[in-house]
Amino acid sequence: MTLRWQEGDRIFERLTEAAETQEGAELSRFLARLVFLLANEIDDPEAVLAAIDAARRAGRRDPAG
Amino acid sequence: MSVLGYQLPVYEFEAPPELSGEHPGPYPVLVVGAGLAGLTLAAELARRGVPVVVLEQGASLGVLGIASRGIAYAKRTLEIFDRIGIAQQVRDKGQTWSEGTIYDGSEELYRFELQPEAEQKWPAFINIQQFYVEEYLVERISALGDVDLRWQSRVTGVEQLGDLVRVRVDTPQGEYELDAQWLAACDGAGSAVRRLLGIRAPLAQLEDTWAIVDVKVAMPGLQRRIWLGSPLIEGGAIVMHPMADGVVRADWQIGQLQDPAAEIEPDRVTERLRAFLPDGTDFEIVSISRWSYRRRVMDRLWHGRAFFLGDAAHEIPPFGARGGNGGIQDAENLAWKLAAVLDGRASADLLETYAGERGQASVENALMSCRAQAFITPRSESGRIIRDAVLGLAREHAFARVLLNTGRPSTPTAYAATPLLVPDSEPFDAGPEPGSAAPDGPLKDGFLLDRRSDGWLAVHFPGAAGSLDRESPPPIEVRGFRVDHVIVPAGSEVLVDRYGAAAGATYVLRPDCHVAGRLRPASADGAVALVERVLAQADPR
Repeated sequence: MTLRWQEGDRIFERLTEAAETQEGAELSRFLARLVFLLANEIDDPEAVLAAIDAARRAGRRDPAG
Repeated sequence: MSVLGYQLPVYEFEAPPELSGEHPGPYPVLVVGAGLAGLTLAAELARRGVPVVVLEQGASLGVLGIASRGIAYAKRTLEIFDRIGIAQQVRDKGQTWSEGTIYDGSEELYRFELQPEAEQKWPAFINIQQFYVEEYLVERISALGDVDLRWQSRVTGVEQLGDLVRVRVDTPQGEYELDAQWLAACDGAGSAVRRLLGIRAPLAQLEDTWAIVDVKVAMPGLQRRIWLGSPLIEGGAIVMHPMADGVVRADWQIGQLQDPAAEIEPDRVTERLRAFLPDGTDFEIVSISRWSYRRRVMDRLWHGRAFFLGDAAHEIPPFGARGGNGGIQDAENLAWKLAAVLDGRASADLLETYAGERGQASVENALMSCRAQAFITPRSESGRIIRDAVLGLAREHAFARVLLNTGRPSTPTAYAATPLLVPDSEPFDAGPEPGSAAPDGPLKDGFLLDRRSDGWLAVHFPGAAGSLDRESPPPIEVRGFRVDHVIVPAGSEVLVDRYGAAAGATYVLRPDCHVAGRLRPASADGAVALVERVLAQADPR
């Protein structure tokens, strides 16, 4: 699937709004719940594992660093 | 005032006949505000022979002196300016660009091309200071005639009187009243007309504040650049745009812990610019201002005898350049309809489509620009975490680059719920859908949109088994509207491709060049019937 910006913007907006309701460590728990729910939707464990590894590698550098 | 050679024109007050006790009104159209929307509307009406009075409270262009204000003029706007007759001036003076670069901190993250398709008459964007565009419009209006542009004339009262609107005007030589059949409020974000009519529009004050600086500096080849999370300004955003005369527009976010007034002191601005620009770069500051972005969109753009256009109707953040471009498209949308109502070709029912179509565009533009603002300047720490996750992914993953929302560039709205279209009666795999803006493209001699008149245009793609002759049928009148035909000649593959019309089709374009409908096979009679149907839907008298 190729994500188009129109859908991407809607996803970003909804995700941000949801994240803004989570305080402190709740944000991590929220994101973990989201990953498991998406993993269930995708129904492709290998793809999910690959995505987790890619997400770990894609950590943003600290721009001040 | 002259700064670095800039000298804005000063327009003298000329006493109108009303101050001598004459009452030549009611005027057909009164435009309040000589900004982009008001001047474009006046020009579009004047081109159609509609006399217009324009009231402008200032004595010069703009409200902020030589500040550049709206700088990015999109392809659609340039097509509108082309018909008015100022697009080439804008191109000659301004800076054409179609490439943007996004930086994460100081690292280049992504470079994008806004107009990958070649063979376009107009580029994706031209950047130019707003006062130049307004000056060209004033000159053009003067050449067109039919426009009575009254400077130093401030509206102090508005009264709806059934079939008329009465406006009270304060001038250096006293007050007067004038009547008009229609009033177009183009008087900006703080619209006096809106206030005087008691119309409320919900206002959202967005939290971030920006320094907006015009600086003369040699930066050859500069196109749009945006830095997100820049360490040079404590993790905020910086945007740079080239403009005319070697002037660069540099906007940067003022942090919530900083004193906004101190941040725009010339010494502080100089210090910032020294940090942003390569070491040893010479520069001269042209103007400095500070702005907090707001969102205010009117629920309805038509009240009685008054229409609202531009920032008076929709005040939005600048990301994507949807404010000024939206106002210019408001004017184009309203002008042909108002002209038709005034000369009796249509009833006022047609004007309802202005409110519907441009209301849809206002909401869409506000949504797009506010989403971009939320990406560029996250509202919370959680929002910043999500945004920074996108930046982290975008470095290596192409899919994430579509999420980099630094402003979805202004494109014309595809009108949806409007009676001025006929839905497809059979599936089309490609090409602009009814309601969409018509794409341009090359013909053998010029471009398709050069063939526009002020009426409707039937664009015929005969296809391999075309039933049309190769000669264009003569223009015809439908309900008083002129319908021109153009047959796209063989060999026009670019246009055929843009319209998805290899198998043959006819597209019917409205006077503002949005697609009213399309049919297969190509048919001149079918096009005329479609115009008749669309007009009957929008104006069922």
